[in-house]
Amino acid sequence: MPPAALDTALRLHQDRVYAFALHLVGDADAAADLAQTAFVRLWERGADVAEAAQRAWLLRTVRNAALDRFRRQRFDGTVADFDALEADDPSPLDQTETADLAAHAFAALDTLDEPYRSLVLLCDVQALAYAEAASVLELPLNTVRVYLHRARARLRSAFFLRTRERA
Amino acid sequence: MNAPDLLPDLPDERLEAWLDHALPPDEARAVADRVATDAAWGDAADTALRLRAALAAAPLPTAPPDFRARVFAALPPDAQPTSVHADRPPTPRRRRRVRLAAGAVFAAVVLAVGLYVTRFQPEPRYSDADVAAARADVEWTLAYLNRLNAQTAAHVSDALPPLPQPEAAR
Repeated sequence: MPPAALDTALRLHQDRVYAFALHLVGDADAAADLAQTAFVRLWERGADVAEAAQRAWLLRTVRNAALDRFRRQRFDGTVADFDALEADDPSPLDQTETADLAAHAFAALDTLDEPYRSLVLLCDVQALAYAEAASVLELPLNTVRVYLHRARARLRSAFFLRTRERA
Repeated sequence: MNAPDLLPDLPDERLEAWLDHALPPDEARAVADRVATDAAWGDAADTALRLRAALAAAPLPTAPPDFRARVFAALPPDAQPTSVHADRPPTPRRRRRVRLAAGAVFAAVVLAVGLYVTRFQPEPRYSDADVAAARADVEWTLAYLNRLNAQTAAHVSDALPPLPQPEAAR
C-alpha cells in the first residue's frame, strides 16, 4: 500500500478505530497500540483490502487483536473509568443528565460478554449499519440482528440493576 | 409474553426487536398493545430508547495527536510519506508562502500569454497611402525638431538614422 493511501485511511478511520479499541480495553496506551497494529496490518495487506471495506476490516482487526490480548495476558477487558472514554474537549453533554445516563450505560455495557458488547459498541455507539457490524464480527446479518436485540435487552437489565443499586 | 419477561434477570428481546421494527406484524401489534397498556412495559421501552440515545450521544474519544506519526514510525523507511508536514494544519507563514507561489505562477502565466500574443501576432498590413501619410508625419516632426535644434545649437538629426524616402517623394 502506498504511503499516501495509508495516510488517507488514517485520516478517515483513526479516531473511530481508536475509540473502538479504547471502549474494548479501557486503557489509552493499549488502545493506541491496538489501533496502530490494525493500521500496520492494513499497510501490510495493501490492495487486498478494498477501500470501501477498510473501516470494517480495521475494526475487525482491532477487535481480534484485543481478544488475543485478553487471552494472552488475561487482560481485564472492563472499562474501569468512564472518564477515560471522554473526548479531550468536554462537551456540554457532560453537565447534563444524558452524560450521567451514558456513564451508567457504559458501566452496564462492561458487564456484557462478547460479542454482545462489541455489537452494542458498533451499532449503538459507533452507529454502524448492521451489515457492516456483521462484517466486523464475521457473523451472518440475521444473527447480528438477533444478537443485538439480546445484547440490548441484557444491557437494559444491567442498567436497571445498576441504577436501582445506586438508588 | 408476560410481565416477568421484563424483569432484569429475564430481559425481553422482543421489546428491542419491536423498537427496531424487526418483528412480524402480528407480534409487533401485540408488543405495541402491551407497551401501551402495561406500565412496566412502557417503562422498559422508555429506558431502552433513553439508553440508545445516551450511547449514541456519548462523545467518541479521538486518537492521540501523534498517532499518525506513530503508525508511520512502525513501518519500514520506504513506506514513509513524502511530506513530513502532511498532517500539520497550515500556519500563517505557510499560507503566505502558498499565496506568494500562487501569485508568481499566475504572473508567469500572464507574462507567457502576453509574450505569445505580441510575438506571434501577424504583421499589420498598411496601404501605400497609410505609409505615405505616416512618413509625412515623421518628416513634419523632423522638420520641427530641426527648427528647434537650430534654436538650441544642437543638430538632433545627426543622432537619428537616415529616413527612407517615401515612394511618393521619389
